[in-house]
Amino acid sequence: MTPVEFLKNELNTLATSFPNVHIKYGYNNVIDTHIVELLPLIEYSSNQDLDKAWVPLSINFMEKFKNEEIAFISSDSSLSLKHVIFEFNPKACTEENVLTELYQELAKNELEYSFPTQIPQLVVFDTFASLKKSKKTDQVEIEENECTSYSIAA
Amino acid sequence: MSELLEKSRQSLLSAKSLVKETYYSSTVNRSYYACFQFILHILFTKIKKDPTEFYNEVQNGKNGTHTWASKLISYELAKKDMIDYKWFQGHVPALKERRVNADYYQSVISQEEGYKAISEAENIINLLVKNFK
Repeated sequence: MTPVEFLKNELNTLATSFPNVHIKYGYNNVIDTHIVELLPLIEYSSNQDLDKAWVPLSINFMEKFKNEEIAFISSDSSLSLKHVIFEFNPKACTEENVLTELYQELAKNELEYSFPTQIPQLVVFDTFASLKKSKKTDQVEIEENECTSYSIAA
Repeated sequence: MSELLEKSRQSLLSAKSLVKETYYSSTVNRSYYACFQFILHILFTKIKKDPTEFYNEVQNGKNGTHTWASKLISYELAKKDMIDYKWFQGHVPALKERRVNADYYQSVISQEEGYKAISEAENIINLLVKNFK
């Protein structure tokens, strides 16, 4: 049995026992390590029954396949899982889906604001029009040509 | 003090010095080695693994020195504390990936990554200190 076949069987069993956990499997070629991602983060970090199921599995894998490496991670890890080879319970992670749904539009606006792809339209505020209006009260004298040159410079 | 412990200490100090000099790739490299040298120190002095036996196992197997040392520590840690094992098995590969990217790939390593690598190395070392007194 190959390491991937072993993991497919074992993770399938894990997925059956924990139907609310989304399990992704991939291989990280940078560090030659099998990566198993368990989602959502709250299950990975707080579900002790889940820990009791996957920790022995990871030890068993390392003992069985002495030349292979494995890491069980969640969404908070800096380890990348670029290509998912197989997954179980993909619809289980409802919390993740709801958050994505709720914040997708907000995130899009935030992204467009922070990294605009178009040059924003120049809005020329007519300072002198307002100054002229308050000329009498402020006692400010402004020539018409001064206004023009200032606008261009601005 | 074991030589590996001293090497680890010097690697970490080098990492902290290099990050101030803006040499971020080298910072990541030294942070990783500080961690790895400490793992070897624990393996040989605390777990009492025979170094000759260890290097023979490395030569006879397909694992590299780093991988085999991490695996042996992982087994011991799993026996001691499942939560710490859980943390360790996820963070050591993360630091390793950071180091491989810093050393071998055409990626620019930022100041933030340099500081993160130091922090990760320190956290791994502290966890080992806690478990293998």
